[in-house]
Amino acid sequence: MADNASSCAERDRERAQVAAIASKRLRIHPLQIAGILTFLLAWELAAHYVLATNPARADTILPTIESVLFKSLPELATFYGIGMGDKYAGATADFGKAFLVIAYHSGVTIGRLLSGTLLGAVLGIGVGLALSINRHLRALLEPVVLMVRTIPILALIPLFIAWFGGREYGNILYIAFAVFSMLVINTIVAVHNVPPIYRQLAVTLGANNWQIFRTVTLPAIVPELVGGIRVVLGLSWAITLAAEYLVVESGIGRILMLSERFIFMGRMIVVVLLFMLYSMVLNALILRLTRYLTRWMP
Amino acid sequence: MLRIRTLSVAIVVISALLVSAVPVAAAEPETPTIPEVQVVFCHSPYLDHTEGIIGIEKGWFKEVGITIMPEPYGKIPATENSVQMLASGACDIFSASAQFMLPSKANVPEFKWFVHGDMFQGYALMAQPDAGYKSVDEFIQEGKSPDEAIALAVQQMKGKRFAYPSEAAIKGFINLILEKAGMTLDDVENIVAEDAKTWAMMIAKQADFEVGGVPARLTLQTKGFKPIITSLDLAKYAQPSADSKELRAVFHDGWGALDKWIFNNYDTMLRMSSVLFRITKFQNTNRDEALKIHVPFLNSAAGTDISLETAVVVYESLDPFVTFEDQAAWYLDDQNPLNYKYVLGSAIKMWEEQGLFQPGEVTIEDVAIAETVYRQFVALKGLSETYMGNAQQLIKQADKAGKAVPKAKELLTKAKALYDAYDFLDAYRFGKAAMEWAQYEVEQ
Repeated sequence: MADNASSCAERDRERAQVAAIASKRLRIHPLQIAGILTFLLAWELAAHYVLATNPARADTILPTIESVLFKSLPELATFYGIGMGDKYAGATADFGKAFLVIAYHSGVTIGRLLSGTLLGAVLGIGVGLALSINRHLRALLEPVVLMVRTIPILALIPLFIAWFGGREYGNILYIAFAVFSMLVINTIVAVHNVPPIYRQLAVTLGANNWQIFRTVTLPAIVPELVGGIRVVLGLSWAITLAAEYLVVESGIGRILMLSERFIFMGRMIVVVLLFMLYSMVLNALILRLTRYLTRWMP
Repeated sequence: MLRIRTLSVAIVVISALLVSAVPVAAAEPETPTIPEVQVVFCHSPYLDHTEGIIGIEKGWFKEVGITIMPEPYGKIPATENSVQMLASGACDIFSASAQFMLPSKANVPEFKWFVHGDMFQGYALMAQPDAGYKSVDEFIQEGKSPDEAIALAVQQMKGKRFAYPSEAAIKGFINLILEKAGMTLDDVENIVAEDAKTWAMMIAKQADFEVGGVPARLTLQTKGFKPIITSLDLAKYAQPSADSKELRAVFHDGWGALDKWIFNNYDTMLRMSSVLFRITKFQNTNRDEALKIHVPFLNSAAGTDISLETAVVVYESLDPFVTFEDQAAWYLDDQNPLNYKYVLGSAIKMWEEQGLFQPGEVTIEDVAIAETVYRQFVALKGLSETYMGNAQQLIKQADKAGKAVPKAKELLTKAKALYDAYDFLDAYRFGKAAMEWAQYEVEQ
């Protein structure tokens, strides 16, 4: 009987391990695939309808999927060269060069995104923590911070162009400003939401203010902060795109802007799909990081 | 400040002319050099603003000591950002039109357009192709007079949706065509949006009429849209006067900079201008070769797929590039309606009528010094010819006398090359040095 009990316990442990492994694998429900296929089918049907009824303008209203993949995608090779350390190619369609264009300009955009977001996050969280723990500083700066964060970020584009003339640090500061204004408040609220009993318990155990801050407050705000960072990261893509409407000469936002300017609808769709892909990948990476940072949570 | 500087240069030039007759042989003459400088050059991704690539690829900027920054092609920002880029100092020189900058004149540091390369005449009122609208030419073919034809063509817009961008340079054309038809913007349903969005609206049949730049016109025309009235339809009836409103349909494109930069880099500004003259000469004499450099760069910079054939249309009619020699009509011919003082003057008057400026508040000299620079070029050209001629004479005499004048020959060869490259400033300097060295070497 004892043997049965121990083998049951062992089987339960094995099942738990398998379940844990399975939970980490990517689970795709058949309905999810069906949903995506339905969307693609609807797009293709609509595009072919436009092609049949308005052939002269089909590409500029709603290009077909095959047009996007086999015409617009290789046409991105037109952007090859300028800013990439190689000779410009002129109007051309070439998958190889197109992928190099995508790789280069995506790298530039992601670099801007991460630089601006990191800078904004460090400043936002740092200032938020400072305002949370020092009431004099909070009284002095909180009204200013609250006013500044209400400025619509898109309205600042002309100001940033005028101040920084399209220089790279201006673009990064623009993204950092947007991230800062979101995270500073998120940090203040996160600190405020730490249950008082955690601090009280630490005090009864003899912790001083610095120990409470380091060992209680900081770990306690991580879940809420990380949640805020995930939201901000999603918005950062939009802000980076807005920054690339500033006077930049690289980045997939610039490709989107120029494609819009001359109504290359297929190219715009390619760039939007790239944004979606990068956003999903970055979100997945942040999710993993989140789970690691909050591994102590039940 | 800039007017004093241009006057000083004029005085120096005239003085040099007066003393040039009698070179004084003395100590070893100086050997001129062309200083190496860097210029942050910004050109918008349009055909009429990217001709600088020809000079870059041919090495002509480097030949006059100028390195275009950032290497290798300069900056390529949108025209809409030209004001901020220039005002913030992010660009030393910007390729655009002075008309484009006029509305922001009060709010930015003083700037001047110092050289022109082409005449933009590419605006067109585009209409939906299958709605039965008629163009000016079609009305004229029906027997209408030009004025009637223009009025009738534009009156087709009454009550319809009209899309146009908000850029300053296009206002002149729009106001003019409406005025010709006895209409105002209140007679149409206005849709103000960026250039690309106005085309998109036409393609999606969300607008009945549209005015945009050359890319808009070319793109819509290839898709079957119809130009009802164009800049050329209007400009052909212009008079040589700033009061001639027809001139608001066209404008000169060129290069401009802040006063402060021009004052501190006057010689560099002259050398930059010489390269533009060299470029426009090349575009006219070696058109196909020029297009093979120009068009691929534009396509890569803008992501467009303009063909060489389409670019020829732009070069020949919509936005012709004009040589230094032919630009005499813009600066020295007061009877030419396209004299830049009438074209720019007409634009300034338009803004006075709109209440942006008080009458007389803004003059042409407040915005452009292209005529002054052109006249300096003419004077420097004459000086170069004088000095080179003198040097040639002395070298001939030295050769006859069996005297070696290698330095003088070297400098004269250099002067001639610079002269051919329209760098008359340095052609004059090297020509003068060649003359002085010829005399010095003969006396040794």
